[in-house]
Amino acid sequence: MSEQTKSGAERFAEQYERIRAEIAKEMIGQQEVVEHLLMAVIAGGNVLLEGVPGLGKTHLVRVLGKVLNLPFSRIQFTPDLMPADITGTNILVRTEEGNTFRFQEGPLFSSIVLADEINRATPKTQAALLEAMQEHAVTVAGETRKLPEPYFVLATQNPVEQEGTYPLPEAQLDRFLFKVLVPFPTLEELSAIVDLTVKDGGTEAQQVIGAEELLAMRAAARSVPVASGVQEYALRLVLATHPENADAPEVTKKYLRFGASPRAAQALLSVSRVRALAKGRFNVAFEDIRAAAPACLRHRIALNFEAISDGKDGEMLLQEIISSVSEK
Amino acid sequence: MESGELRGGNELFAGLRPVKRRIRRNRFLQGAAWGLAAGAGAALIVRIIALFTPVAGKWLWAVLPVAGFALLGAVGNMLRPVKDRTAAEAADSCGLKERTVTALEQAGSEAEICALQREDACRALRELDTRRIRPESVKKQLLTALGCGLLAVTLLVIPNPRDREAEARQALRKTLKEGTEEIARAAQEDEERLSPEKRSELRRLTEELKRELLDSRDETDALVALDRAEQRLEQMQNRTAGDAEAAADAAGSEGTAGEGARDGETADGTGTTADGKTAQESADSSGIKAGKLSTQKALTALKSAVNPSEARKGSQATASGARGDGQGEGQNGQGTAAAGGGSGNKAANGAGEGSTNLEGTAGGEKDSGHTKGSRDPKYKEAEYETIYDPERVEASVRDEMTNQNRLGNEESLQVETGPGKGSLGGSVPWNEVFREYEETETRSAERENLTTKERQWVNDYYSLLTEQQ
Repeated sequence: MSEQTKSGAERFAEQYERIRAEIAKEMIGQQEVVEHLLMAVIAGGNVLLEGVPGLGKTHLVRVLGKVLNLPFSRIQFTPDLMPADITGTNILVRTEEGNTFRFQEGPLFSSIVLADEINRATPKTQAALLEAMQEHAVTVAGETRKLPEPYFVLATQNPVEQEGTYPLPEAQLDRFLFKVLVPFPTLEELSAIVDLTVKDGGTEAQQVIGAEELLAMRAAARSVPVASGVQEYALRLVLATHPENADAPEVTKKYLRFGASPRAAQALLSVSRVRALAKGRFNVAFEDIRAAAPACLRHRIALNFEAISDGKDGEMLLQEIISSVSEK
Repeated sequence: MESGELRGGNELFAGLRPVKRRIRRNRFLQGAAWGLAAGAGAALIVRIIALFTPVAGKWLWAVLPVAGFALLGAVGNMLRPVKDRTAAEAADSCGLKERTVTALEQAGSEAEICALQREDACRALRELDTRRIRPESVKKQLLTALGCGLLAVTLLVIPNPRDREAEARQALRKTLKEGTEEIARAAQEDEERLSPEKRSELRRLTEELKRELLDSRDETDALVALDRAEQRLEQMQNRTAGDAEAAADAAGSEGTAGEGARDGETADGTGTTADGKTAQESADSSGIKAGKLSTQKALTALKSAVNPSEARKGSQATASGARGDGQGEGQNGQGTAAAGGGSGNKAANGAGEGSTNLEGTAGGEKDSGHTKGSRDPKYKEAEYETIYDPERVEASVRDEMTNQNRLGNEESLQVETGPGKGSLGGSVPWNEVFREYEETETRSAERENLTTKERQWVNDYYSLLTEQQ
């Protein structure tokens, strides 16, 4: 056994805890959001954060960049934002040899990209993100450029103000590993936030690891073994969201229009691996799958008209589906 | 895959051993619960069957299935082999979070992370308190067992005629067994006094009797067998006595024996013949004639034990039989051995002994199918009257008519024969009682469930008598 791998896997939980603790210095409350965000980042996925304005979504992403010591860029999505504005474009540059086109990298060329209020941009601009999110590459004028690794897009959207927005298409939603709901802080958390804001010289989050270490953590997580029963449970969970599946629970057949894609199964297992290591285990447990399932599946299912007319909530339905799938 | 081949696998499999032991213990309990349920169900089924047919040993059949099934289930379930996977899953269910199952699946892997995982799983297994491995819930099985058990106990304690029947059968079987042994012992005693020929006959008789008694299903079978044996024994006795008399006669005619032997005295030792065989037979007969054979006494005792009413009847008949014997002795001078040994069949001559058989009637009465002593309890007794007209009817003919005091329409009627009313008070002219009888019978015919034709027949009968008068 190589010492490097061993220490990588064994040190995972410790590093994870240090990152979390460092983020907590600047992020009051929102423990679950932070955890989900960290897991997704280590697993190498993109995250869609949904919450009302002012909950610290942008701040969280900024702190994460700081702790991980990764280049960070922010794009404020607006209806007039064009694809070239985010991917970059060829610009005419006057040099000593004469005029020439040079590629001016857009804000996508960064390790952490914050796509703020992503649903305000037009579908055309949103679609420009697809390649970057999935392939970690950008193609401009027929030329494909690799994006830096590690790379991930953290998008936010406001669930309240739907006027003048363009809901993300299913294909794009499927590219997000997680959809994390950012809840309103509790009274204590709110009090702490207020206190932190008015105090001078509050503690600032410091860098914990770098890009190399993050990639090592990702590699360690990918090697975590999964028992066949656990993997089967994850797959059955995904299949349970498909109304056309004969074994799907009644709630699925009644209220869902379509279910999660195979990417959901991949996402479930990869995030579960990270969670297992973060909890100090070297194997995936059923509880890891259950913990990751809501964030993995909630943006990958679509309710039908009956669910809407019956006032059914996607979260509630998802919980019913998860509880209806047995471990064995 | 063999555990020895696995890297670090030995430790893992060693760690699973306590888990397997615990699983076996749990299986023992589960099996016992299943067995209890099955046993209680079986006991209930036996009790339900016992409602329709006699089942001997009701408590045994209540306890045996429960205990047997419980033991069988417990041991059988415990001895089932425990798979490694099952043990691993059981360990994981105690909070090991799929560590053991994963380690088992990755037992052959050489990857570093798998080795780490295996170590982690082994550590967790060492720290595992196997008492946390709980058996599957057996609530349903126990409830089933309780329900069936309660029903079975209820059926056990409520009175069941079939149980009494079974107990009676069992008691009869026991009585027959003991009686058979007693007869065998008595026969052994008798054999010493008999000639080899008679000895083998007696032995055959007792063997057959034993077989018949053990095969008999009820009292009737047993009594029939006993009666048959008794008759055969009696015949044997009579033959022996006849032979002895013949021998004695022969000896007397040859002048080798005393004269007094012919006048009702026993033949034993009264004369010494030159012929040894005759002397032996004389000795046999003297032993037999001196009284009943022990075998016969044992037979009588067994009959009394099998049917106590028979014993009562027998004792009454014996008393009257003794009186008859006295007359018989006086008349034919045969002595007690010949007349006293007679059964009910012979008693038709008025010298019957108490031990009537099924076909015979006690007290020298004519056989009418059932005697009082051995009568089947399903027959009920009715009152009878006999019209007896010494002037009209010949003395040897008796008409038997039933009185209207019948106990049930579907019951069989017992016709008890014997001297009629007319004979009790001597001769009563029939024309003195004719009207009274006509009135009674006409009333009776109207009340009885008779056809018009039958009523007419009764009326015509009396009309005819009136005309003759």
